[in-house]
Amino acid sequence: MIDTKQGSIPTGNAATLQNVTADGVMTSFNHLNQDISTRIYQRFTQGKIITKLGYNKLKSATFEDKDFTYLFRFMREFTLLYRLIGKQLEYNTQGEFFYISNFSDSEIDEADEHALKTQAVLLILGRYFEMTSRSIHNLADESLGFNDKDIAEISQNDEYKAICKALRFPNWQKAIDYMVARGFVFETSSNHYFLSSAGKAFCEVVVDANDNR
Amino acid sequence: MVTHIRSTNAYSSKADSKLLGTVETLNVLLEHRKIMSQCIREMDAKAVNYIPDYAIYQRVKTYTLHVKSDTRRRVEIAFSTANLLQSHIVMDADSGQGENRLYFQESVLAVIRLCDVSLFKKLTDVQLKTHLQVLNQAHETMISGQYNFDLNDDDFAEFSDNLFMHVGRLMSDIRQNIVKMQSLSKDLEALTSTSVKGELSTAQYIAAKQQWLGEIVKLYERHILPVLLFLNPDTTYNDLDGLHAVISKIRDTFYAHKQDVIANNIQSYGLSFLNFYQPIEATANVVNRFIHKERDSLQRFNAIEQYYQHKLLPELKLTQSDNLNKKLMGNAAIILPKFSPNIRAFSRPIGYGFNDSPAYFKNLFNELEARTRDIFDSTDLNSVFAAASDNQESMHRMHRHNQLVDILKHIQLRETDDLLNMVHLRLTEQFGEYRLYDLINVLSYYRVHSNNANFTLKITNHFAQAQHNDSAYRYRKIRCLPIILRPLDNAAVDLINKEGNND
Repeated sequence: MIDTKQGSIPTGNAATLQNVTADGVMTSFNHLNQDISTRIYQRFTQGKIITKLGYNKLKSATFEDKDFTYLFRFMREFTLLYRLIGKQLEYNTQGEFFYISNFSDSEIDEADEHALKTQAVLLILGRYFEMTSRSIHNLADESLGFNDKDIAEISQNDEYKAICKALRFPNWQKAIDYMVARGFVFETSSNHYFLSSAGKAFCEVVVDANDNR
Repeated sequence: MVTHIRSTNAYSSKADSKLLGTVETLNVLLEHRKIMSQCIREMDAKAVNYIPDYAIYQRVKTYTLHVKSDTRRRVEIAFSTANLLQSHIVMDADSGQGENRLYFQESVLAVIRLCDVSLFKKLTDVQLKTHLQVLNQAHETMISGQYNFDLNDDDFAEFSDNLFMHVGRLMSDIRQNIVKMQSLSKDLEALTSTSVKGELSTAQYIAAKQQWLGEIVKLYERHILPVLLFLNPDTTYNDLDGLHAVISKIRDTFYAHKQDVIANNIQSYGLSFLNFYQPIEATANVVNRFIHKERDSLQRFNAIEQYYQHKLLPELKLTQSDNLNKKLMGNAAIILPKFSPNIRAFSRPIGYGFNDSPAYFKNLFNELEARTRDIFDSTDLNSVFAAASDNQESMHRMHRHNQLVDILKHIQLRETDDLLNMVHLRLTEQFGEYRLYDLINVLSYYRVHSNNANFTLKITNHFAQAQHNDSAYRYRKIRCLPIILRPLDNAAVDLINKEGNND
């Protein structure tokens, strides 16, 4: 039930936008902070995920992402908010991150480019790490991770080069930059990268999925 | 047969009549012990107790390839069969088996093994059991009343000497093994790092990994575990007493017969054996962890490889097929379709700036007016391009320039952050014959004449790119600002008035 008298755009705390969720509980947006909610919206529009732990490149330290905490606290409200604009707010428990899933009904032919790119890049990183006798666990370790040298070495492999092209990345550095922009990889101040909890969770799920087969 | 004899002859004839003494020969053997180390390793690998003379000859040959000539001569003499025999380094030479077999003194081999940790023989379960049996037998004979426990008695003296020899040998064997095991983690590291260099195919990688794992598991199960078990004070055997139990029993028997010195010696050996337990246990833990790590790693690799081979590669092959439209991978390559699907950047709604204020309409009409004027003025541009041709290039350029300037005089400048872009886009859109130097002409014209049009041009430190005929040109943005003569504000007017009044 939307209070139409207030107009379709909520203006600050004056908005009394209300709705009933699937379980019949009244949800209102009155108590939400507009600035935080706007910032979260902006991050989602850029196709980013929001992980529990962020990384501050300048301070070289991980920090608890306040937007994540806020989303978690008002999960019901935000789920409703995004459902109203045709999106699905999803939470990944293992990787502790929020993301927006776009219903892909209109473009069935188009590949899920995000899933394709991130998963292929993560898998190849994992494969490269295991083949050089380093565990995939090291990939997600802040003090270990991978660096320029690893990227250069991956770039030299012909098969990886072909995959990179077929994923529409100009080169491997760009592929890693894509991962950083999306929040699956963190970049440190010394040309050195490591996986976020989301990237790590993917690697773990891959191993578990194979074990359970 | 014949060739062997000939080679042997050739070898012995080469070494001249000069021979070296035992000390000198041993010196050379130790100084250049790489030769012997390799021979011993080969001997151990074949599980024989001799070294054929041609094997030594080959090693000497390759070893002396890059040494000084007098060193080479010295090494060749020392390693010649005749010299090894006469200096008692070799105890026997047997040429009856088709090759000339050299049986080295066990003590010489032991000295060389001592210099090279990797040559230590591994203790096997059987060897350890044999030692244990000897000790148990010794204890049985002690309590059987066979000896009178008098050191002046030759039988008893012989027995106790023999006992100490056995215990001493056991001690040295175990000690060597510990040294070897402690260097094991270094070996493990070397083992794993050598095979990862360079590009490996999946099959090669798995084969290499399984080979290490096999080797390490064998080492762990056949050598480390038995030694550990042997030294563990809690170990019990069916028919025999364990090492520590039998040693305490022997010690107690000596005490009972008032042989305190011997008993104390046995006691100290017992303590030393107990001390060995911990380092071996530590090594065993390291190896055990390593094996587990490798097993886990294989498991993880298998999981990753499974998806790599069955999801990514088939889709990659499709992009390389003869279907010319298929250049990118598709959904089939997505490894876990349920893991964070359909994340996409989405556009935020763009706000329309509709308004009903006078300023809004003024702005709108200004824009419309400027655009209309522009269309009327720039139609003349066609004459500029019509005048250009490939011949007499500079003449035409001049001509074009003059005509362009005529038109520019009519066109009004507008406020913008990027003058070049504005002109460039307009020229590109409207005229196919447009050349880049037209743009430069426009620019140089404006830089001279902009003041006439009440505008000022500011070259900024911001850069932008312009695309023309497949090339991109980088340029500094030029801001075009109207020159505004601002009226004095009220405060300033008041100030002037006041000053006037004071006068």
